[in-house]
Amino acid sequence: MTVVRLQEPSMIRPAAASPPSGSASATDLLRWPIVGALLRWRHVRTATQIVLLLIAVVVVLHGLLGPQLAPKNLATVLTWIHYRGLLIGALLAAGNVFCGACPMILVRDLARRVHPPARHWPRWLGGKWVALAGFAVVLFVYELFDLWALPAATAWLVVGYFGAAVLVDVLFTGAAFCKHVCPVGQFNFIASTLSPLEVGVREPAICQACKTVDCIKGRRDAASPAIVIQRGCELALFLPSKVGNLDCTFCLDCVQACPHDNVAIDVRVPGDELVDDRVRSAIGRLSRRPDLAALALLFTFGAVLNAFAMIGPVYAVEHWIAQALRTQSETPVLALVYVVALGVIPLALCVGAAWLTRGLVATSASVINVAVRYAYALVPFGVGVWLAHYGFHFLSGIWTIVPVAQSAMMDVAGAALLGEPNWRWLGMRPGAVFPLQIGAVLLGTLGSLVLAYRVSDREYPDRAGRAALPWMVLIGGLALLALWILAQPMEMRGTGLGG
Amino acid sequence: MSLEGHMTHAGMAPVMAAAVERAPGIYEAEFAFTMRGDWVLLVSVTLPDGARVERRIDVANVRPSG
Repeated sequence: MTVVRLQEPSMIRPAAASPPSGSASATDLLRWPIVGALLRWRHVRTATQIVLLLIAVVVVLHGLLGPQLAPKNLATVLTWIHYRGLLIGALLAAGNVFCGACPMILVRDLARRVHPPARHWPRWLGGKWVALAGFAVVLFVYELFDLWALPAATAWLVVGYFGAAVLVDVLFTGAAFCKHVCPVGQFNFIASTLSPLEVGVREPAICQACKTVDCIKGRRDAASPAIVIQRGCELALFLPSKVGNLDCTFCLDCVQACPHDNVAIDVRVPGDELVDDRVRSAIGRLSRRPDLAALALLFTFGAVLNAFAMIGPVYAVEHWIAQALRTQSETPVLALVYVVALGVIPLALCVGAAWLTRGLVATSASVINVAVRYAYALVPFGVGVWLAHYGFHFLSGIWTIVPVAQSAMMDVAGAALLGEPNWRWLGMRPGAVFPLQIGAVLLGTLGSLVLAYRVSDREYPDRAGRAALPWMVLIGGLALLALWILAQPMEMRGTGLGG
Repeated sequence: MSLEGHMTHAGMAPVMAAAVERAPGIYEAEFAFTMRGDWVLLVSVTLPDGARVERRIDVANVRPSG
């Protein structure tokens, strides 16, 4: 049993705030044979968390004690090849299952038994701004220190991540780390808007008659009310007014908590929620969340920058900046690249497009307000670029785990218990992956174009085409840039000012 | 004596080559970098007494010549 605190009553929104997004259907995975039984198993989350925790332990131990050559170390292979590839694949094939199985929450739950949190996350730090900063810092640090090439640093990153999660969540109630801090979580939240599955309500009428709202408050021991037998949603998503996947960690606590067995995991149209401006439980309207719009932009432009950093022309850009700054140090050069590419350029392009849309449809809405409404339309393109990038590493290096595991076993056991490592185990040829990368970017671009038009149709139904035009040009331009990047020879290298 | 070439990024194809002794203490191996970027060369030597010695040589920023 885990003792947690009750959610604030103010977090519970009335069911009538907005219509439920879910409904009873034959596509409810929880009703499927075998899969449904597995997902409804009370310990499914703990079981998956234990598996990932064991993998994390292996990553840390081999990262610190194994060979300090990235292609021969489980820390770098598992983290930068397999985890990232499987993460984006799972998000697009199912949902935010990696958050659901996050081993840090398992460790956090244990830590909370020793030190239960007593504070609420500060209101002035609400929203996603802290996580946004963390997301940008992680992208920057990854590039600055060439983390993909450093097994020990990768291991320390994992240890630090666990430490941060535990520290935040033994201080603050609920899922403060997941909601307000975790950079990977924010990546997952925004990408999961493209997921085909969503946790929702089966029969809305049952929720309207429900008096206990266990899905959010959890269930308590009748004799000792301080003891929570089953917790409700730690991210304060009240199912009857939950819309979409944002902030949903797929933990399935609500499935266990609902006394009416009224929760579903339903199939839906990926990306549809990005044009849904209904009031969302614990989120509000997307059009009134500049922090979430900024997250969509960081996610999208971060994808392009992360891919750009792996091709030759980045050298020319860095040398030009280094000469302009008269420095030989990589840190200020890279910092400037990141500030411009993740801050100045996205802001300028979006404000510019919003300004044009505003002029084309003669609306009185502010430029920022227009930009926030359209920013979410860029997400499918961003997902396409992340998929193209991470998918490349995953598919072209998928079998490298075999010789690395064989080698690690030799180091541990002193004998080739898994066989002699064969370093020619790789994956698909990079040339064979290229068409898939192009397909991912084009599909994402198409999704973004459709969403830009649908946002226009929602906001300016009689001038939708005209309103969408600047955004379609922006999306088209970004797509051309991404295709050009993918067509360049990839350079597996640090971004040092070498050359 | 053998050579292994790896990119600094995991998941990429390594290059393997065996070295041939051309003169006492002088070994020659055919080796081609198959990709731009940062490489690590691992030189493995088996000594007459059977002991193995491995040396790591970092080769940064490999680019096409010309």
